[in-house]
Amino acid sequence: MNGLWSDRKRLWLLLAYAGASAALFAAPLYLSDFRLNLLAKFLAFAIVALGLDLLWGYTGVLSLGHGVFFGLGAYAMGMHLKLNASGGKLPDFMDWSGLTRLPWFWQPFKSFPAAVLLGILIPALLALFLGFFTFRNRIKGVYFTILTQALVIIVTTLFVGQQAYTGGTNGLTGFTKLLGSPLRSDGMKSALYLATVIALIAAYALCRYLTTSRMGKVLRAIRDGENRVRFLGYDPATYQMATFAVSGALAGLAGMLFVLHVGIISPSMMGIVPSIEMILWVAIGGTRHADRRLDRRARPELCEERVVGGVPGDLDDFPGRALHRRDGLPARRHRRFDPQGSRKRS
Amino acid sequence: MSRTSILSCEEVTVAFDGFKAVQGMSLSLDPGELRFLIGPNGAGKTTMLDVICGKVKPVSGSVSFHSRAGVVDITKRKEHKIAELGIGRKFQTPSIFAGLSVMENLEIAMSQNRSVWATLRASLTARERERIDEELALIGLGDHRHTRAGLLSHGQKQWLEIGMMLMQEPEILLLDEPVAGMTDRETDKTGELLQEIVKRRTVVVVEHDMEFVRNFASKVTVMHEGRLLKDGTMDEIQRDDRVAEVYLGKRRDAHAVG
Repeated sequence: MNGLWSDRKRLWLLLAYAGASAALFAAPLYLSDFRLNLLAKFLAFAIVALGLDLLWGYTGVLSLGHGVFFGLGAYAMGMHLKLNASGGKLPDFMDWSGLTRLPWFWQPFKSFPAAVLLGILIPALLALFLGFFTFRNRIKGVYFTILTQALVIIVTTLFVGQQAYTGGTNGLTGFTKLLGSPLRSDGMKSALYLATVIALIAAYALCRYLTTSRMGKVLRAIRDGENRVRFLGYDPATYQMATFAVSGALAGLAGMLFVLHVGIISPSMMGIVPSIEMILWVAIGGTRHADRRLDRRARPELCEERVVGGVPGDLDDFPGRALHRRDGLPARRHRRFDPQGSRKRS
Repeated sequence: MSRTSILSCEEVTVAFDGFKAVQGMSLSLDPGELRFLIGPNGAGKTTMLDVICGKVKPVSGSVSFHSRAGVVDITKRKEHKIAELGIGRKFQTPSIFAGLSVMENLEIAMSQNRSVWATLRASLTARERERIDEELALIGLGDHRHTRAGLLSHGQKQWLEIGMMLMQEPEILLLDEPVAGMTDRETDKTGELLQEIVKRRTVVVVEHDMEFVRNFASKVTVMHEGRLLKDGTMDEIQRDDRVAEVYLGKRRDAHAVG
């Protein structure tokens, strides 16, 4: 690996990144409103994929519960939008359910900055909490994955059951405006799209920073030999907890953006199926060379995949996407699917 | 418990589901000593190392480590805490991080603040780079610094792991069969490396290769069926009838003590 070669490679890489970013930023100029909205949604999903890649590709921990973190972020933003739409009155579904006053935990969501903050913090703290009890007790592999599935069932059941507080099966919808401007306006749509691009680039930069830092090396070391890391004097549990929390926070961020683009969030969008789908995106994007090109793949490919696979199914909603994608998937993509991604680490 | 010892194990007993792997074993190490731990298979040598590094908790007995920071009861600490206190362990099979380069392996093994936050912000300083370069020279892997560790030969992996241990700057180094599976030349080189290491710290080596043990005129402890059989110099050990019986009776490679 000589210096010159890697320098040149670096330059090309940078150019490719710059090109991709420019293309994304300029999208409002050449895409129709409909496609722009679709692309925005896919970019939000790409943020979840980045976070999952960080967790799965670098620490070998497979979470099938990211729908929950995504959903919690989405609900945080949804609650803010719902309060906006109700204009100071009680949201409609609370009224039907017989509530007379706004529950205390809805109060902070009146403020936009608070909603954004909570939409990231709540998933991160939940991940930290779950990680605390699992990683510290050395619950790993399949057992951890099963626990994340249990988390999904618990949370969705809770959301469906508490109709008066969460909107039940229907979820939250009927949003009208954000920060005083109507959500449906063209200006707002472009602004939200650009916000998503910026969030994606920031998320990518964060993951890149994490993985190239010494912490990233420790994470890869944990994946290669957790016990050995322990005998070097590191506590793998804190590293896994931190990564899980960051991953959860990214899913929360993605959820918030998703709600802004799609205008609805319901428990079915955070359930088992979407949670597993999220893992599929990462598996198809490829985690095998996580240590080398994971992010590089995750971003352009996942985006591309969404564009290629998603457009044919015009109104494809969340759970239906896997089918659409399989239909629209070029053969090339199939080849790229790499079972090594789920390789068991020793 | 003598004042001068750096580590003293008193009456340690370890049981796995009722099977007593170690029974009332006592072991005391002087600072700067090189101690060989030998014995037939199943004698409890590796288990003893497991106890010292905290991987296995004894049912009874005490292990106290007289570190620079004071006396510590090892049996009450977690593995990563014990490692941080200054007891390094090399396992039987080379366990290096295959996905990282040789240099990255040494970088994360280096003694440093090992919290998430600290490693997140750490960058390789000139001094650290120098330290890694020194280590690479010592273990003879200078030309392989950017090689993925998984691609190294068996011997090179063992050396890398010894190098990683040294980067931790432990006071006590526990080596489990460092020359197993090595060619004669590699074994010799490992011997030289060991001579170099012993100058600065206390080392315990579990070893089957008697030829290798004989090259170091140091103290040897013989274990048999979880108990202490004999303590002494290699000469004393070789003349001991019980030791000869244990090896001759249990193992075909009787030349081991011959």
